Amino acid sequence: MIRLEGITKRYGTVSAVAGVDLEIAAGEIFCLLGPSGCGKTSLLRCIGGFEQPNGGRIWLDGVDVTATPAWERPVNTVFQNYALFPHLTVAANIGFGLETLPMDKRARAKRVEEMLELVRLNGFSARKPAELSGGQRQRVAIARALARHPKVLLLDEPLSALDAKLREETRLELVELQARLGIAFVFVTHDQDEAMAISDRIGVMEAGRIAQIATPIELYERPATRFVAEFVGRINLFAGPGGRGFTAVRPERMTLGHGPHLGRVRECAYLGERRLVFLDSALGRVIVSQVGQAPVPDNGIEVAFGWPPEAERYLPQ
Amino acid sequence: MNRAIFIAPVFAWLLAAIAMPFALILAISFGEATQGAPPFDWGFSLASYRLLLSDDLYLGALANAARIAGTSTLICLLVGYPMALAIVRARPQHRALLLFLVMLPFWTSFLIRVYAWMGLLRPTGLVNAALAEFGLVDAPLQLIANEFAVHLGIVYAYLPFMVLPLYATLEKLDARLLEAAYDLGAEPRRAFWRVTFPLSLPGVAAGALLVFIPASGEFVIPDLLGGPDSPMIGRVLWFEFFQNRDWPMACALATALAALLAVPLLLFDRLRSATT
Repeated sequence: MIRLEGITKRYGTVSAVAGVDLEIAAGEIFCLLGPSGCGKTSLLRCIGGFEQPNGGRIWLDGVDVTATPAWERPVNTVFQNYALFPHLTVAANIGFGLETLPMDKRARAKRVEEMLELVRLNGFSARKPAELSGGQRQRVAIARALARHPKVLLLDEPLSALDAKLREETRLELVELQARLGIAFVFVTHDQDEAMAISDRIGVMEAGRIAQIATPIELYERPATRFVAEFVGRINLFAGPGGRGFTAVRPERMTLGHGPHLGRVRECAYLGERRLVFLDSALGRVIVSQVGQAPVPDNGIEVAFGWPPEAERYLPQ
Repeated sequence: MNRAIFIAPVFAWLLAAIAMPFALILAISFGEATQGAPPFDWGFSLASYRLLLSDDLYLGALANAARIAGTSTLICLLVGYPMALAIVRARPQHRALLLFLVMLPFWTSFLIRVYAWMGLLRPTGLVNAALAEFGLVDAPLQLIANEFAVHLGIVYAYLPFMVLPLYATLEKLDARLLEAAYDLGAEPRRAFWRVTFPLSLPGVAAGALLVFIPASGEFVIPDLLGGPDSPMIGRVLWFEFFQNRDWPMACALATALAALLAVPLLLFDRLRSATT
């Protein structure tokens, strides 16, 4: 559905996107994940047509749209903070994109009704954006972007303006919505929990490049680089065999109380469903994640720790 | 209590600078002109208002003022809007310079700048000399002492008052809104008329008021650049005060002008409460 070939985007002398190749299938939820400044938003803006890449090509549904202006691309965007038109009602916001389509007034009104129904905002059509809650505004932004039947929906940090509880509900709703519509959703987020929870595949970006593209499980279990391993979840990194690369072990795969190594308990962090134990050892700082009712070690005492060999992963860089 | 401390000076200022002088003008307008100092007697006579309503000179001058100020405001908007938009869209490092250039004329006295226009526009002036030099005209064009010159003068003098509030409004406009319009299939022209322009209306209204109100009472520009054919109220008012020494008449004219200017102010207030 979307194919990116060698996309680069420079601002002055700074490369925001430094040669990205990417293919996103129809009907897939794809997430661009990375810290701020990694180029994920610039890449999304290139797909949307708000930025002209300095190099590379963008294909949408088999058509080269690299030089196509935003208003002619068959994609729509849910903007960060939504960018709803403050002077227009909810209905006019949703109907905005239909004005340039060849359809009569009645068909347009019907489509607006459908979209209001889709995001469960019936009865809100005459409100102005300022009269809506954050969650309602987000739903208007989604309805507005979907009204034109886009082949791809781009979402720029769509959940970042919502509070934690609403964010979790909303991401479930987005997954359901995507399943119902069957079009590709391309997300940008810096929140790894969010990316893991909703994506079919995740592209982790680092300094303008894609560090790894994988499913959430692969990404967590088999990170390709140290950057990915550290960005997605927590990880213990030990010097690799012969001093080259790293041996990486996830904290929940560590064993506490038995194992070949010794560590001194520095701190325990109780997080409800699990507990993190921080150890100082000859191997460096170690994090162990425990679930269940295991006894809590006191700070300062020495404990044995280790990990089963199958939990190890070797990272060359 | 704290609130009162902050608001009291504002009210005192409004009372001293606006309410009291206006009350005085209103009171004098009901008096009668005499030969003395001051040249009027207090009283309650409607004679000045009766004359105002019956004499074509006064009503005509009010109408001229409204018309000339109105067209000048429109021209300021047509010239100033693209200017403001261009400044907003200029590179950030050029913006300060462009704004500085907009305000640069204020560094010279207003009166001197209007005199400069007289020098440019009169039959033997620079413009006619240049036109004659290039053989574009046989006889000097009549560029001064007419409504054209008055319009030119007002647009020249008040353009910054249109550009600056427009700039302030357009600069605050969220660039994402324009991108959202593009995203939804609107090409730039459509996006401008559906998003940028409606959202800049408060700036348009503020700029229009800042031009229209002083322009309708303008005295210097019509006096120096205008002709006898279409007197504006400011000039008539000045004449009544200083030539005729008919203070009640002049005050009645000032009251009528203030009433005329209340109309756009009320409209502006309506617009503001409708958009917020």
